[in-house]
Amino acid sequence: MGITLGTVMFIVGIVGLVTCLVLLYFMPKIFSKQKKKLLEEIQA
Amino acid sequence: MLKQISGTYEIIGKIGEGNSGEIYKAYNKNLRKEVVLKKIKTEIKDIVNNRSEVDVLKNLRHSCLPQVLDFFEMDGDVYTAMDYIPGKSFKQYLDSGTKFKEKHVITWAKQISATLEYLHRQIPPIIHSDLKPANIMLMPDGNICLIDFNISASLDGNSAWVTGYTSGYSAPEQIAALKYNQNELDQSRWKTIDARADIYSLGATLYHLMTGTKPKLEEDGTVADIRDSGTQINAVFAAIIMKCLEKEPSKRYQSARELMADLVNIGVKDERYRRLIRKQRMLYTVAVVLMVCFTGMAVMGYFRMGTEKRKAYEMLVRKEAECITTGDLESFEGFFQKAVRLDPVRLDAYYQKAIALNRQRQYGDAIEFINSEILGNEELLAQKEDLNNIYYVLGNSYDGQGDYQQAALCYEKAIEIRSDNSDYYRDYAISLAYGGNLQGAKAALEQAKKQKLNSIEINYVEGEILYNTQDYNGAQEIFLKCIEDASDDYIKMRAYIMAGKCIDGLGDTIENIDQKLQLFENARQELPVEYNIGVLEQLAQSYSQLAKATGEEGYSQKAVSVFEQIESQGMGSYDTSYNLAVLYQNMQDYDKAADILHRMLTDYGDNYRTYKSLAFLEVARQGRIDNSQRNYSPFQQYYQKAEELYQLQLQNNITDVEMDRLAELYQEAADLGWIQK
Repeated sequence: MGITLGTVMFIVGIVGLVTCLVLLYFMPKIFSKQKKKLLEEIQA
Repeated sequence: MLKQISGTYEIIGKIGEGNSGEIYKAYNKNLRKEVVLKKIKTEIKDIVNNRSEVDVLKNLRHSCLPQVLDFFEMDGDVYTAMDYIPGKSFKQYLDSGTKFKEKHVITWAKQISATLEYLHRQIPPIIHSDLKPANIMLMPDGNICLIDFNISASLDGNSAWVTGYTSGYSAPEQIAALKYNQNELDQSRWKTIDARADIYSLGATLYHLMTGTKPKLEEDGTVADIRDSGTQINAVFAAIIMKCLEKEPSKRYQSARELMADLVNIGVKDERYRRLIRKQRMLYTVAVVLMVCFTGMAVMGYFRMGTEKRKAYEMLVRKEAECITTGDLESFEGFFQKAVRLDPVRLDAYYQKAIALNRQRQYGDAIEFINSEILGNEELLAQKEDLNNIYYVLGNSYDGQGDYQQAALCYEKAIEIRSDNSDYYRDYAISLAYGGNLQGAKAALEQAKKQKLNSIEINYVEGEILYNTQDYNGAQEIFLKCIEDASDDYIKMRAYIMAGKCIDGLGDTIENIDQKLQLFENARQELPVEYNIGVLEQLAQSYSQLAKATGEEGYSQKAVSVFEQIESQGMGSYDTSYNLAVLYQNMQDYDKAADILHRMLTDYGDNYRTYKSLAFLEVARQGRIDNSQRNYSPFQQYYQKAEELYQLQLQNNITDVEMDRLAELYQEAADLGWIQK
């Protein structure tokens, strides 16, 4: 049995899920830095 | 000018004139530090004489307020003594044309708000009432200090007496109150101001710091919008300043705390910040939605994989079954291996392989395969409810080998798992009959009748039982009836073969052989390919027998064509090839016979019978050559190989009289000098 649609869906799903989890983990930190930087710019 | 006050303070110099009067810089001999002495207005000095309220002021502690050290009276005047604050006032900076950066002004606004908030929450609240650039010091460390708050405005509940105002900075209600009070003799009716007046003054101060000019009053008493002044200012900060400068106190910030909250959140209220927050929220939401979608995809993919695996497996098993029908054994093995790799714990592929081995009459291989690969596999063995067919095929394999006792045991196990299968009962009864257990066979038949076994199959089993009692005529009659009535090709096939065996039992006459030929030719026409193998073998044997009995080569050729048909259907075995080789030899086609025998060595490996046939073939071939041309070396090689392999298999005690005959021929050839021993 070669690469089937089910396998592709499963792999893409897992990779996408892991990517999203990593993004969601780092997003707050990145966003916090962006907010801080912008506040500093605004207050400058 | 004063030089010394009360022996404690040594006047250093006059440093200004306040609303209240002169302001001196002095040296406190007791505290040994510089202080500021300020005379309080004469109109309110009676109020100040209340020491409890003065103590409140002396207890003020804030980093942005000068410490109030003392109040004292001298020569009829009341003075306050406070810390001396180094630095310059904002008025001095503004007068010198200094431009302030917005971020600094915001920082100072927060400090002033915090200070006002501190003053306003004292009990009783303290209202500065004279907040303006002149009264805010910028210290060398960059922080501010509020000075000169009019202490007389602090002393009555949440509001304060109005003692003066500064144009441009004082709140409208402060100015109105002062004007009213000046004309009102009854002090109890005097108007007062509250903390919101300080808010207005702070707004006006911030306006001045940002634009460089005092707020301009419009005709209706409102202040010109700071955003129209041409000054670059953050929209949120501008809105804060204008809210402080609302004409109506109720429209301003109601407290310094409220003002502070907005100052702290300037950045947060900025449109750019709000846009960023919206964008970040959107990105976060997208990431969450994508995560959910990917999770869903992974779950669906997982279940789909299971479905695809199941379908792929089932397709491979179907292919296996097709290969069994067409005799394509090479492809079969490929499909079997793929199926087992795909799902090692499903029985179906193994079952097909067992059937394939059984159909090819490789009964020994089938038995070994089932016992080791299926029944010897714990995971497969655990699927007890599905093993009935496996036991049935195993029983058929034992039956094929003639081990009827083992066959009966296997059929019994199949019945234990599935008691409603008529085939199991039929073959169980037959194996018992063949094994000599006629009582057991009849009992099994009775069980089958209780299970409502098909009447044709019951008749068939009764025929088998009669055959085993050597009632060949009775049995033949039953089998011929079964052939006529049966719709099941498998039963028909078995009935044909058994009818043939009944004819054998009646004797090897030419008439009987001819009768068998007719029977099996009918079977060959009637039965489909997957069921005609047993019949074809019987047909080929019948033609061989007839050829031997009559000496007519035509029958030999017919036998050859039937054996070749068996091989072309992929159902050929060692015996099929062996019989074919013997037929060609009988027809004196020695080359073809030799070809077949050599192919058998490749297909089936070394077997003494093959070498024995090659040796006999060589003797026959040499017998047709002139003596002077004869060469018995190949015969010698074939004989020696046959003898070597024969001796090995003698451990199983299977003797072959033809080997004795071959040994005699070998001796004769040696005696005649054809070979050197």
